[in-house]
Amino acid sequence: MNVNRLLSSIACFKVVKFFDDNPRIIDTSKGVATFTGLTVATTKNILEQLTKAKILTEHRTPSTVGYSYTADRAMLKKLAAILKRKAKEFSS
Amino acid sequence: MPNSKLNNEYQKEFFKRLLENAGLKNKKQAFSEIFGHPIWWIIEEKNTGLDFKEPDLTHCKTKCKGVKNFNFCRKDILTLLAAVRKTHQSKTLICPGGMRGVCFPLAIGEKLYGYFFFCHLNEELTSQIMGIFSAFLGTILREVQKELELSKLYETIRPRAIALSTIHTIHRLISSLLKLEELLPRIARLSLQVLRANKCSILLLDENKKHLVSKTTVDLSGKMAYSKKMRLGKGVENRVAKTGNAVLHNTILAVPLVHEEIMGVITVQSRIDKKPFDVFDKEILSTLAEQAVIAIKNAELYEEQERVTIGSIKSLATILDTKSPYTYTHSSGFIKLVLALAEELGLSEEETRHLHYAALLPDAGKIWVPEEILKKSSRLTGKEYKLVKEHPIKGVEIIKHIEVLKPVIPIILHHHERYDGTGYPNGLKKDKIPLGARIMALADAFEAMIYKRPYRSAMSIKSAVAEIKRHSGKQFDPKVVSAFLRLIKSKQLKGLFKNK
Repeated sequence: MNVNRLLSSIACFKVVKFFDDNPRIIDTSKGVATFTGLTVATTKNILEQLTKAKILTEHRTPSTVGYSYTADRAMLKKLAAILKRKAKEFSS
Repeated sequence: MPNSKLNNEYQKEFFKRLLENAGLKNKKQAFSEIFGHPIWWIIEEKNTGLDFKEPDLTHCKTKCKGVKNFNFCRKDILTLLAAVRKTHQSKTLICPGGMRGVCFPLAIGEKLYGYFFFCHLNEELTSQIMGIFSAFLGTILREVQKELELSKLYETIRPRAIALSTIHTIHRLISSLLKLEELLPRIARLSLQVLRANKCSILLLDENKKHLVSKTTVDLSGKMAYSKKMRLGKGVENRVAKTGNAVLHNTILAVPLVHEEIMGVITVQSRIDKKPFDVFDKEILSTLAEQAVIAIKNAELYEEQERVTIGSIKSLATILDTKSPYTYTHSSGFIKLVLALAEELGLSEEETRHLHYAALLPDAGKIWVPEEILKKSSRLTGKEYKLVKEHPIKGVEIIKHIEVLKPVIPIILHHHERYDGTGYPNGLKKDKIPLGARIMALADAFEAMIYKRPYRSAMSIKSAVAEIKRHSGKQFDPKVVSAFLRLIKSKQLKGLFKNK
């Protein structure tokens, strides 16, 4: 899915912003929901979409799924620009 | 950071929030009505003697047309502020323009943040009104103070909570893995993520503690990683393994893996933002290393337990075969076929492990069958066949006391059942037969066909495969037959069986 389109949702923006502000984290959907103030169900759905778009990496075991931020420099640069633009849009 | 600098920053932040306070803004209109629309100033205390921020007299200049020299106004206001500063009490004045003004201190306890000053009151304020307004200001100040303290607490706690959540997630991700070949790459990838690095290697000491063996390397740059074995000596990883001290250079960070003694080293290289590693990174990797050690020890113990279990079962099988030499030892090809079928049919790791145990001694019960029946080359009588049919039940009698083999009982008990219900010992049909038993039945029959028996010669593999196909749905589960045929077609079973 197109990254711009994905980040047009404020919930998705919040999740990506959270990872961008804390790039070292690895957390579950429940953890991310706690820190972004979204519901677990919404967060889980967003995390799966972001994994498909290669913005996040999934780490899976039978009992746990953790998510971490991309390490791809080109993607990080692209995301930084989009996040900056979206932050202005959402605040206005 | 010096205390005074911290205090100044706190004060600045406090004042900023005070000016933004919604309660203050909302009530301003109401008080304006009461006081006759005076000119308001909120002046910040600068803590530098009488060097107050200059009050903006623009509005005064508009309202007080008769005043020629506003310096006197400024002087009177500053004198008033100084008096309020000294006493922390509100004070009134009459300005050179003849207008009434009043100044309230913005203070909580001993701490003075600023001044609330207004001029051009329509009349003198009664002490009651002054009291109400003072109380209002006090409430606002306490609200702002609480808000600021909560904000500071949030700023302190939030990053720590996020870090703790990461550690907890990592713990969950690695503690559930019990195979070293899965666990070590996982640890390496997680280390790369947390440290935002490009390359991570995990090296473990060999049994002699003389060599460091590279067990896994994850390199995000895509470069090939080669397994290496190094004698302890020079080099960063070796130094860490020898001394037990972490090494921190610009582009390389290595910490020891320690469980009672040093067991290995974990190394990360090259941050993706190209910045050098720092002490904070070293702390993080050390914390990760501690978690990794526990997970690695668990995996090693689990693998050791597996080896002991398999070894014990093999010993039991050997003893039984020694006692009963005509039970036709299953070839290693038989076990590999069983495991290949398990994988092809998508059995879980646990189910596959149980099947493996079952494949090591499926015919343990034949020890109860008289030797002359087992080595008979002619057709068995009804009575003799009845004895042979009892061997799965007898087999279960042997293994049922071994705790680790209890899950294997249904497979051993029913591996001579037939899909159409005409097998033994219970005549189970179709999916009532445990899947492991259905797999064993096919593998057992296939192996029996391609190897020589006292009562017939060996079949070719091609003929045996045809025979299996012919009995699909009758003796064998069609699903298992399909899996078997896929394996045959993909040549995965090539070389597994050599004619005896």
